[in-house]
Amino acid sequence: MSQTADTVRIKPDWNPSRLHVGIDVSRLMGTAIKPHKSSLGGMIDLDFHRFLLAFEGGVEQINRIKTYEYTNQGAFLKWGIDYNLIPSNEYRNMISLGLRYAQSRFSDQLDFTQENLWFGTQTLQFSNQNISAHWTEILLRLNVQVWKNVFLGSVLRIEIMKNISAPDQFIPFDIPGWGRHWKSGTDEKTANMGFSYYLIYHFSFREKEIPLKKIK
Amino acid sequence: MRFWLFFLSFGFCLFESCNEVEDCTLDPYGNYAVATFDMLSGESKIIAFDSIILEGFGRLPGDRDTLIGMLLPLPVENTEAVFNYYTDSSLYSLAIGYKSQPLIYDLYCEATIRFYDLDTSYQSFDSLVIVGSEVHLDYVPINFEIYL
Repeated sequence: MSQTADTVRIKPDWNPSRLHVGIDVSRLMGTAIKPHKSSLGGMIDLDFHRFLLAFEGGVEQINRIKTYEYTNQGAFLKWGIDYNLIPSNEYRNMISLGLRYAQSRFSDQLDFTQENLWFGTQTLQFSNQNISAHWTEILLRLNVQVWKNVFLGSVLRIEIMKNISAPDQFIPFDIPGWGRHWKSGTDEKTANMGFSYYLIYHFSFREKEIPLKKIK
Repeated sequence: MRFWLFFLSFGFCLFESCNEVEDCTLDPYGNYAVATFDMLSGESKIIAFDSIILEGFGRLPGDRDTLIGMLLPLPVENTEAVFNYYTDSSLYSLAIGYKSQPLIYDLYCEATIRFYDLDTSYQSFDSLVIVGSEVHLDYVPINFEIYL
């Protein structure tokens, strides 16, 4: 028995219909759990047909106190495009693939004492001012409606192609928005995997027709 | 569908990666360069100096010991260290230029300093060979071979 194709071709609607504004819950949880780290992040995106113009940003402060004291504070901004893979979802849930360009600007300082056979105990201090870093991210994002206009968004990101400006006095250990810069020693992390968890509010400007699924 | 999307959202948490903890005893960075003394005849010979002076610091401890090699301390606040080797009849000088870079070898280890781009801006020995231009105790246990 043959089936007839019942595909309705809808003209792409490029006018924005909704705005997502979210707060990075994973950063809030990290601030609550990790005593050395305080961080705040958020996101905003706007739809254009199946695409979303997305911005993410945040501030981060790290204070690692071990046998040394390392402080790092700065801000980051990421922007790019997402492509919605399930535009026909009736709940406006979303699975999307995305690309981001990310920039970070920060300052850091390292204080430590070193036992030296010849010079005795030395107290050393090094600092970097206005370091900048930029990189690219590939994202897989899930948005799930939990209640009316409230969504949970989880983002798995692969961070690559990192570049960092020449530091003043020492090589930074952390980069806000990227994570740890070093694996160990002078072994640099050239790629990184990150995870963010957003609580998102969905602002709708107008009703946008949900495209029909193709019936084979 | 909603359940599965929700489930997948939480499932992503599993992707959070863990970083390996480094063995701090493997930290290969020292705060000194290493020089060995060799006779031009090719036979290693014990050398005795009356004193070895690091300019700006003074006499190095243990300098009167008989030596086949010597640790050369590198002050982190400078980019050059000048050593004067006194024997009863002569004076040898060695000026080492270098760069230094503080780093956290690993999160759980002590902060350390990497010395690299070692070079000699002046030396009055018969000859000197730079074997390793970085202080790295694993890869380059000797930095200078000095011939008398």
